Amino acid sequence: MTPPWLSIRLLPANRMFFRVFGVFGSLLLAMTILYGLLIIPLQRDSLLKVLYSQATTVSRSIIQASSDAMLTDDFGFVVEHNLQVLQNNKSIQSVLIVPRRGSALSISTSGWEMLKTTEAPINPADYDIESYDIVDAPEGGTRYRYITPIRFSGVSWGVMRIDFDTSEYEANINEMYQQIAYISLFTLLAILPIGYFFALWLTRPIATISQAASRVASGELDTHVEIKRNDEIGDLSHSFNQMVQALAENRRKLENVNLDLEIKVTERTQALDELNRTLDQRVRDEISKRKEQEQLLIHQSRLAAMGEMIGAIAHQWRQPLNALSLVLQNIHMQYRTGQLTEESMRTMQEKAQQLIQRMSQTIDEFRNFFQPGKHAETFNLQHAIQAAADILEGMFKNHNIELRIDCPADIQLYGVPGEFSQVILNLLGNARDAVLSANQPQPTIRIHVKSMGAQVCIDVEDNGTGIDANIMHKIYEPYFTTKEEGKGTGIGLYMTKMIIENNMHGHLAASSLEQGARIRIMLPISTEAVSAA
Amino acid sequence: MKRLFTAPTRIAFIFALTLLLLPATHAATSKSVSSAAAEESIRLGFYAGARREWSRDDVRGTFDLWALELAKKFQVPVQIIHYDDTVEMRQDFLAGKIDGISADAITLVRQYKLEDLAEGYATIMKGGWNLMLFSSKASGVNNLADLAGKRIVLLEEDQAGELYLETLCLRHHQRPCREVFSDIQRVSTSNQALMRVFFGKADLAQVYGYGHDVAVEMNPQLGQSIRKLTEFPLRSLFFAFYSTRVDAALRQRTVRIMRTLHTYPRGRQLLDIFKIDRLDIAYPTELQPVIELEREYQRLRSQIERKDRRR
Repeated sequence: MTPPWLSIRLLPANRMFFRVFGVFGSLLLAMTILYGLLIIPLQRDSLLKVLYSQATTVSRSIIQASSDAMLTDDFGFVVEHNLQVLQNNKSIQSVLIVPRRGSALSISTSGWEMLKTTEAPINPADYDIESYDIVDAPEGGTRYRYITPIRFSGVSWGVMRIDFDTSEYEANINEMYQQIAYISLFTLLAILPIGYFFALWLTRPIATISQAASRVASGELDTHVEIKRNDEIGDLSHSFNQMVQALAENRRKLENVNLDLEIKVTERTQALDELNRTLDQRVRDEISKRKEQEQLLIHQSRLAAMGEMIGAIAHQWRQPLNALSLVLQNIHMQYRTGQLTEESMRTMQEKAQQLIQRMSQTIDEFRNFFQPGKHAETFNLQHAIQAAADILEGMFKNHNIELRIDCPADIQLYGVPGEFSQVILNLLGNARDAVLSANQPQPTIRIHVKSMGAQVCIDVEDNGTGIDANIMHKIYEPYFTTKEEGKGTGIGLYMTKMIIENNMHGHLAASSLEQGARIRIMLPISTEAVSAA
Repeated sequence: MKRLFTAPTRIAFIFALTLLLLPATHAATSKSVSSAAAEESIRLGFYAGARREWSRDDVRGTFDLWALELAKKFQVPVQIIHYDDTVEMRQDFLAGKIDGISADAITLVRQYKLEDLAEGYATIMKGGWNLMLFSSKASGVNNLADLAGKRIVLLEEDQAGELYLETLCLRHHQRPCREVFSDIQRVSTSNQALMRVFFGKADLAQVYGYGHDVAVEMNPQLGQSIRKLTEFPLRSLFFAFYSTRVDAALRQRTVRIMRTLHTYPRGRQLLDIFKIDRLDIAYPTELQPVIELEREYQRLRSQIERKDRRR
């Protein structure tokens, strides 16, 4: 059996742990190294300042103590004093004293010697300017070299060069490097446990929540996270648990909804099956209804046409009826006055007979025009247009409407002549209403026909109110009318378009003009008809 | 080199310390001797010398510290008695108030009888204690007959050197030195003396052998610029002797330990303080050359005085 401590996972198997651990450690180490890099130059400068201070103090001390001996050329005292200085100050390696005249003295801890001035390694500038630097020593290592002019009462006596041992300086630098290395090493060692626990403290609850989220994603909605912390992670844990509970609740609701939906789908499927079974019958019924509606529309259209015809007859009959009334009044007048003779009676009877015959002829003309022929045949376009114009002639004259017809005589069309006559009559009727509504001083309707190859273009134009752009898309719909209540049925243009496009294979389009409207009909010219003509 | 102590004073100081140390060292090496030493009390006389520029309190403090440390460690009662006057020290020695003395050779020769002194110790220096007289090659002095009218540098408080030079003057020029040399300068170290010759501030310098070696070692140019005219052999200039009243066995035991002082750190440390190489056993008879020099000086001086009186 595995002991419990073996089951403890020392390195958590999550990437966030390693990332946090790495970032924390790198940051700490980088800061330590950066601190070292910043502090080393400062410390080095500080040590150099200490060396400089020491050098100036020693040089001043030597010059002050040896000034009398230098001025009196008592070099024995100078050597002895400098030997004592070297003996007492272990950091001084050598002293070189070069007078402007005479021999130079080189004094070190191991002895001293006299040099010719020309052999002394001194630059001319050294007699005037203080200088210092770290130089390489011949025996290896480095030295701090301080050179200072020797002056007495403003007179340049010579120059002094002091070499200081830099071992203490280098030892301090090395010690500083070591300390920084130790600090870095300590930091590195400290990073391991501190970074480990820090990363663990930070990432373990997140990993726990992540694992719980994975279980939730796999469907385990009874998952619960136990993290007791008074921070955002604790809040996240609490929110996560609430979210999982809500998710479980929603899931139960969704399952119920799904169940209901499945039931409904089953019911709808059954209904659809039933619908499919009765679809053919429904289609047939619908087609039948549509045909009935079309028949109704046609019937309504015919009724409308009948109304138009009656109106036209009324206009045609108005003048002969008046004349007939005058004839009757004349007969009555002559009878009462005793002037009625056989001759006058015969004349007025003939006149009345002519008026009645004329009225009867009118009825015949109308009856022939509206003869409901069902068979398509070739007919002359000009005759068809003129016949329709004749029917409305009285009405147009009554309203002072000018009708202009410009149509070639040799154009033959193929179709049901009665339907085409109904088309022209509808368009002229609409044009009449438009020009009357516009109150034009010179109401005009123009029918212009021109042959365009195998087609003929029939334009019916008026100078009426025109067609508003807002209703342009609606004007072909059945029962749509812009006329006053009781004056329009809304099926005229609908039927007209159906006759042209469905029965005669043409095309009808309406458009507005600058003044008025235009209905353009494109129809194929019947070649058979041409030959027949 | 900075010298805190003049040579005679330094040597006397080291001797007193050595004598202070010896019984304790002896006690540390032998239980039987330790018990015997613990029963005795050693009193040492120390002559501080004529110079007064260094603090007697410092010297007393150093000795007392050593005495206290060693006495506590080895349980040997030790007493240091400081003297400003050699006559007083001699009176106490003869009266038996002190068991040993430390002084320079001239003081010992002039104030003590050899038969009253027993074996003791001498300071040994690398380069030796021979007295040497050097001249600058540029001065034209090639032998002792050329000394007249020259400038000479001597060591301060050097009775032996003064005695030897006076003897030379009387021997070769029949006149005291003050009449032979045009200028007599005195410096504190042999190195200073030789440097004055090297830099032309003097024509002659009388120094000890060890001083010459150190100076030449410091600057070989100096050795090439001087010439040695004469030399007086001395094994040492400073001695410490027990009184013959001190037990011979105790003297011999301490002598054996004394010779090994430079071989262990504690003793080496003591010697290094005063730049002493080592200590070695010495006998009163080693003062004989100085005694003879003193006799020759007295004889020559008497001859010169007689001649002067005849004139």
